[in-house]
Amino acid sequence: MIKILNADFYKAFKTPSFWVISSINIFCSLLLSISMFWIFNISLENPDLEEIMVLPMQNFFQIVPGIIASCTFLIGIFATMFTVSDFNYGTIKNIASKGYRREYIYASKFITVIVFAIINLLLSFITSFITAQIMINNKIPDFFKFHNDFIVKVSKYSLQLLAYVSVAILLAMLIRSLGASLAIFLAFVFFESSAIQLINKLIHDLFKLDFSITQYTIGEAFFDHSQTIQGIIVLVLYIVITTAVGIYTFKKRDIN
Amino acid sequence: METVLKTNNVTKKFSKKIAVSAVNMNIKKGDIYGFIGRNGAGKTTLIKMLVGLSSPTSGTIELFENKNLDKERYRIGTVIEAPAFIPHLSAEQNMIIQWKLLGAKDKSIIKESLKLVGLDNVGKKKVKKFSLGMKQRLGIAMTLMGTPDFLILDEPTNGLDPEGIIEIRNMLKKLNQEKGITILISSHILSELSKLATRYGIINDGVLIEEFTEEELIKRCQSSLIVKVNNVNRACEILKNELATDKFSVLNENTLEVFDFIDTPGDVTKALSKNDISVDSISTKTVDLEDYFMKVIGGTQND
Repeated sequence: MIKILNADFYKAFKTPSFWVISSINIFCSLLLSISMFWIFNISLENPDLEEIMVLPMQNFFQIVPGIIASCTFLIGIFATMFTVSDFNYGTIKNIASKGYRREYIYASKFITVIVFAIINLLLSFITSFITAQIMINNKIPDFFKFHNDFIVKVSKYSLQLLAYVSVAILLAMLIRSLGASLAIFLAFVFFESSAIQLINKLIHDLFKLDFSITQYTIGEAFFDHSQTIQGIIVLVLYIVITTAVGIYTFKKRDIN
Repeated sequence: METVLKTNNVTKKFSKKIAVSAVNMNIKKGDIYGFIGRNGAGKTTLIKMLVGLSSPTSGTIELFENKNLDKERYRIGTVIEAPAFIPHLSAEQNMIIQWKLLGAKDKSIIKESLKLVGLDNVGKKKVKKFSLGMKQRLGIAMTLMGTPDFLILDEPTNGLDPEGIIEIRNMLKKLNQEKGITILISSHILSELSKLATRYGIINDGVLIEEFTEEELIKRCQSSLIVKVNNVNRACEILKNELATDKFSVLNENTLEVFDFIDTPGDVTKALSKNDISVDSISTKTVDLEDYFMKVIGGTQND
């Protein structure tokens, strides 16, 4: 397992997508941070505007989880590209023919993507922090004071991210083609909430029920803040089921 | 002698099609096993099962007299169909990945393996810019890392120029003789295979028709003399009585096939002429692996 992981880390750092996606992530975080802190600056310079503008919480650690959450789809894209690459290049044969267990190969991909995700979350955080230091600095009192919400929000977001990653890897392992798996993953991320609303409406119209499946989706698992435990269970189930299905099918299917 | 590979009734079915049917293959330590078959005969399907890329529908595989294949596959080096690399990396970087997969400690084996296949001077050139021959060499270099006990090579000389083919052949021979590496090699170039292999297996329509040694092949591919005479019956008597051989057969009313005196056809001509038999022509007929393969495959098809 360690040997495959070692090889996968090396491959990940050598793949252009690692650097391209990380750069895009830094760029997106920078843009988001600038726009967010720019609003603060304007409101500070024009106190009258505060009445007509809805300002977010005036604490860096409450704001930053929202910024780093923007890189979910980028990490999903990397997960898909990295997993499919071994099938595209045929290098999966080099690994599988060495007698490594398929579950280890699968787990190695998962862990490599998680490490990539952690690096990118840190990059996003650092980018936002530097931007905030430059743009806000001491203009807002206690702006950089640590807030406990940060840990809760980041933990929830990390769990959601992990669920998305497990879906991306499952799709990549099942489809084994970059275009199709990437398209399906992106459709899943971007149209998940729209599809849920449609399903909720159908349930309401067809069965005359007020039942909603919103809280059973990855994106909206923590929609109801009072149902955190339920959200955690839903996301853990997503991770466990997708990984189990992924490993099972990977073990059963031939490698061509 | 240790058995490196033994398959017991290995079968692979794809929905209704049987790609490999009850194959019993045996490879002993030190063999260079030439695996022969037409396209779609089942060679690659069987090789994929051997290396764990696909599972047999039924039957069992033993490697190094052990049924724990995951453990023993570590001792195998493989190139299946085309060698697989990451194209945007250099040869050395691709080798590093393989080196990490093997968990080897000594990094010098990367350079040694590249040197062995003549790729030690390619520098940082990306693999995507390599010629087909260079890719084949790199594929072999990757399999050689970690000194495997058993090499499985599926069409390793594909795309190589004649010089490259000779180099690979010599290298494989050297590995077999000096390091005792057992080799399973499938190839369409039968003339090339016959210069390398010590044992053969012929597969057709998923069925392993025959397994035979180099010596057996020589016997089966025995050359003969085709002698055209005016009196076949009398010629037969002379061959029996004067040349003391019964290694001949009558092909038609004026043609004989003699399996003796291949190196001294003059003796046959002299004996026949001395007894007033007119020899219209005498020629040598040679059978090589290619002819033998066609004969076997053709025979199967006719059945």
